[in-house]
Amino acid sequence: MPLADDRKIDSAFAAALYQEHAGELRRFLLGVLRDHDLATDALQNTFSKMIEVGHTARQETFKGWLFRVAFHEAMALRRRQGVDGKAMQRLAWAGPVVGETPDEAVCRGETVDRVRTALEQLPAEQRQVVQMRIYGQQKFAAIATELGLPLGTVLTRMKLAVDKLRQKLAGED
Amino acid sequence: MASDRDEIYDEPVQSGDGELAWLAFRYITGELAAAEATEFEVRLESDQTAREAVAAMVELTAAAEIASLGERLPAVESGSRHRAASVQAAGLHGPHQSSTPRWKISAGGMALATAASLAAVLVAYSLVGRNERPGSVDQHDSTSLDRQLADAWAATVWRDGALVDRPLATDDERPLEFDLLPENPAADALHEADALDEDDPLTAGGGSAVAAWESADGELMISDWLWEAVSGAKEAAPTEPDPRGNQGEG
Repeated sequence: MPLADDRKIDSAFAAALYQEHAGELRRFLLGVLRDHDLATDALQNTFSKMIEVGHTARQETFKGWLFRVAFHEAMALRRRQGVDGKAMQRLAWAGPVVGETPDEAVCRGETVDRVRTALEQLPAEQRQVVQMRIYGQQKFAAIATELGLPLGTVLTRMKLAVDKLRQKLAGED
Repeated sequence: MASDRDEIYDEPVQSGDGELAWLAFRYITGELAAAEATEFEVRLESDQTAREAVAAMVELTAAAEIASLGERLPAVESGSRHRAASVQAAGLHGPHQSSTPRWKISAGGMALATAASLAAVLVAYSLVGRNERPGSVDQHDSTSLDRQLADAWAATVWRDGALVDRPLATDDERPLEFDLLPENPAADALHEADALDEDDPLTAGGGSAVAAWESADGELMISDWLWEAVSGAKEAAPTEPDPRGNQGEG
């Protein structure tokens, strides 16, 4: 592993790691924290820690190491903020992305296009649940009540839809 | 610091792992029971596959949110008023499925769209106020002004290809009338334009400088010129198809 001295990762290697993993790390942190600002803070803390002590990690497992550090930072931030996951449930996922590179922006646009196509191909009843849950940010129980359906039916529709969207996103079809 | 477990799980999310994806989705949307969420977070401590599943579900959810919003941006009908009725979020009507001006949108989406609209208008007016003398708005080239509004919308809403999340400004549920904003010279200028130039696209069709307001029955009303601006922004947004399929010139 390239080191600037015997203690720290050199800046070029750190920049390369950031380029490679920051986007996915940011999404992971957003999933844990459900707060764009906190996720950004945790991401910065993670890479600060990487520069300080990243040389202790094995290069072949560096990605896992980064994610683990990020998770610890997220939990620490959550404790300091005095909120738990349940208190941070309502979030527009497609919020501003700080530090997003042009390549990442292009990839995100392509991702949206693929998901849009996949949404259009979903059966209407599945698309309806997806839109109510993700776009309308209604809880599954509320959706079930509004549609007059058993909760299990709503969950099944959403699960099927998520699986199809995920497969589309992964280019499996 | 890395464990063997990290190495074991340092693999991309397997395509067939639908159960994990579903678990991750319910986790990020807060749909897990407290005990389930705690159990999943214990797993996140050491399971790289689970961590990547969380990241993947956030990516999917964000993309679906943007895609769903895009489906609801309507085509503009010149000379008519448009209503954004607060309807159930399950509306499946895309912009091409109806020629009526009614805009079906979810409650959360309406909040986002309304806040973004208001923000776009504020930006647009600040541009006008900075670049034009207040009294000159009626003499301003209408095409250029439309473009400014469209650009402002694009910069505000689709920055970096994403819908920017902004809190709804109506904390006291007052009508979303732009002229309620205090001491805004640009707004005053637009009101002057309203009185002076009936052909101005900002004010044609009985419109005014008011961007959006609530009708007596609680529906959100949006003025024509704002819809024109929104439509122009859709042309500018790289990932959004033009619902009209024309009007490319600004």
